[in-house]
Amino acid sequence: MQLLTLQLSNFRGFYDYHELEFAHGEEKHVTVLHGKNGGGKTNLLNAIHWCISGKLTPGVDEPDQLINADAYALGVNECYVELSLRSSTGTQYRIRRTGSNKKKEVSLEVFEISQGNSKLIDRGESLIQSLLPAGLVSWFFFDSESIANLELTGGDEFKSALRKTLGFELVDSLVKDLDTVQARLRRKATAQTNNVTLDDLQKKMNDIEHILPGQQQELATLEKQEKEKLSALKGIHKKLSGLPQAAPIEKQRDQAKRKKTQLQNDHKNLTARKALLLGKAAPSLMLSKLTALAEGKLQDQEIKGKLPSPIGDVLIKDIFEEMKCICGTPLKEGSEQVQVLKEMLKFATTAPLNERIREVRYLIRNIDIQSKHFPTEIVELRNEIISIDRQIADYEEEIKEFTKTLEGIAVDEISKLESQRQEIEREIRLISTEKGRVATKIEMAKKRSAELKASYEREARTIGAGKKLRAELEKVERIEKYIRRTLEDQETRALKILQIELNHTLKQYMTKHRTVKINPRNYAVTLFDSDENAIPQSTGEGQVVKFAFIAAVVALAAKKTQERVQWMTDPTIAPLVMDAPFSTLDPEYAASVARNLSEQSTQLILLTGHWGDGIESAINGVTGRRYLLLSRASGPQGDKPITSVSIKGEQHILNSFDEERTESVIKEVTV
Amino acid sequence: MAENDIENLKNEILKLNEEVEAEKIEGQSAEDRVLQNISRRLLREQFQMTTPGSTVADSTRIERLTKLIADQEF
Repeated sequence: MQLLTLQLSNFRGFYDYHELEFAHGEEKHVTVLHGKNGGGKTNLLNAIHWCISGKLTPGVDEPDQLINADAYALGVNECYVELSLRSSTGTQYRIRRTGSNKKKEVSLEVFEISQGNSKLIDRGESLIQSLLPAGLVSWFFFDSESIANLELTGGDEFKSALRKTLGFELVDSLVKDLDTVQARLRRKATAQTNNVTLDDLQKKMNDIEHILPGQQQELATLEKQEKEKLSALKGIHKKLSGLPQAAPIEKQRDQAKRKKTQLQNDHKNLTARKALLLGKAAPSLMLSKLTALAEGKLQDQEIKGKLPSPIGDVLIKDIFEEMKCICGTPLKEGSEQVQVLKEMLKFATTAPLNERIREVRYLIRNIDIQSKHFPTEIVELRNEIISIDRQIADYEEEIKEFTKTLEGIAVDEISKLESQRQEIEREIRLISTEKGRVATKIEMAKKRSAELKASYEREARTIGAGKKLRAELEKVERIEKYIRRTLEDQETRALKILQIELNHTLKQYMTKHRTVKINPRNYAVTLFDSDENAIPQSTGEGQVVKFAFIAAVVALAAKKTQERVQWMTDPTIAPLVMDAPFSTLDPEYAASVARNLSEQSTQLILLTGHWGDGIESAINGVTGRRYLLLSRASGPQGDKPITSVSIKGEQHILNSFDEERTESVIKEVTV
Repeated sequence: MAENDIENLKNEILKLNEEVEAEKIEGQSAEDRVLQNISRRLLREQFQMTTPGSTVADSTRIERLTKLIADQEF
């Protein structure tokens, strides 16, 4: 299928009528629509999605507002989207879906275009289903969130969707019908022979055939229920993760409280130290004044030459003992010299006096040194205490904030969601157990049926019953066996080709050695590093694999891979429509991914914001149509920026203000 | 290597692949070739009978498949 044109009227952000043509040539099959965030890209993707499937993409904003708000205010009560497309057989169709806000869909009309004439088709929805089954829409139309959420972890749903895309579902349904054909032929043969043993075997087979569809239906219902429950569980997890949880905030508050207490203790210790220091410092500081006076006196006496006396008492005593001057002159008792010496002896320096002076000086110096240290230490302590005071105030503020947040937490809401989560998990466990039980029953019934068939065949051959019917039965068995074998071969080959394509892409685009393996059992796709360690899908490289996988599946279906499958049936071929595809990718991979997507797809429609030169040059040669999605706002610009996109060196503005209304407008750019 | 050369090489590989596939079909046993033709006819019929818009009743589908196989000589 290829999309040819799109027309829309009053659909969501688009006021009045708009149209565009998609590139669909052999060479140029890429259409690019540039728009800023909120410029209408997602609405345009939804126009295509809704027209084909009757549904908007999951998680879209305001899903009930189909009609443009301005048009609705003016009394418009319907909107429509019309797509013209060409099927893989070359037939052209026109699909027009009309909707309103109340009922999402008012009407659907599908026309076959032949030689310029439109012919309305009965059961148009069915025709759309044959072109692109509803279950496969998500394999071809992507918004950035769905690419990020695409899980290549395998499983029944994933496997079934992929089998559908590759056309295996039709073969599955034929094989199932051939089983029914065989059962009918056997019943006929039994009726003709009137043999008791065959009759008995036939009855037993009939019983199983009668029960089996019910069991299979039961299993399908359980699978559906499980899927719904898992989806509900996902929704609850999302809601819970969006709500502030009390536990981590309480933990943070407790931590803050602990730190505050610790700081208060430090504060107490420092204050005590400060008091102790002040106690020690006070006498020193007081003494330092006295010692300064004493030092002054000492110095004064020294200057005057009185203290200590320049003459020692030992010298004078020696003179008295010998009664002779140091110059050798004899002294006379009672003489004036003796009187002077006696006077000198009173002030002469003695050893104990010298010792005392030294001690006093030492004490003075010591007091002086100590008294100089105290003020610095006290200032340091005071600063430390001030800093702690500040920290305590900060923690108190933090604790207050945490308490406020905790008071605002919807504890009841969380507890309600938690109990819902537990209930759903319990239900899922029950469904899973039940599923296992039913699956075992089905397996046993099939095994028993095969045994009965074999017994029936043996018995029928022995008695030579219903030869003609048995010959027919044999033919059906042979053809069914062949189809089963071929289907198995094709499936194996398809997975092998997908793996080769993926590894080829990774080799081309990744700097490190990476390989991909596809599990044939559940179709899980796993990325490995050079040491064979699995790499999570959430990484940048994991995202590249997702894009490469989408491209490889599309290419395989469209026979664009290097190796091909000789399909028994035609796989689904549809355009890839991607909204903001490169926003989830590491910039280093964007250009490579863009090139790969354009090479592998039959038609590519990219809805994007600005992009680098790398992407531009990667797809420029295959881009056939290019549009701007202009975002017009009725309000003033204020501090909002003007956004532009550079196309081939030319700047194109994507938004404007002070317009008549807020709307998205489609404008073609000449390629 | 010039871009044209790569393109030529790619086309050659594609042709070769097609030849290999064709040979595979030719290499099939006579019986498999017959079964393949019948399978294709059956799948075409199944597609027409299950295509939304032209779906037929289950019993009609089984009848037609039975007849189609019965009419084939193999």
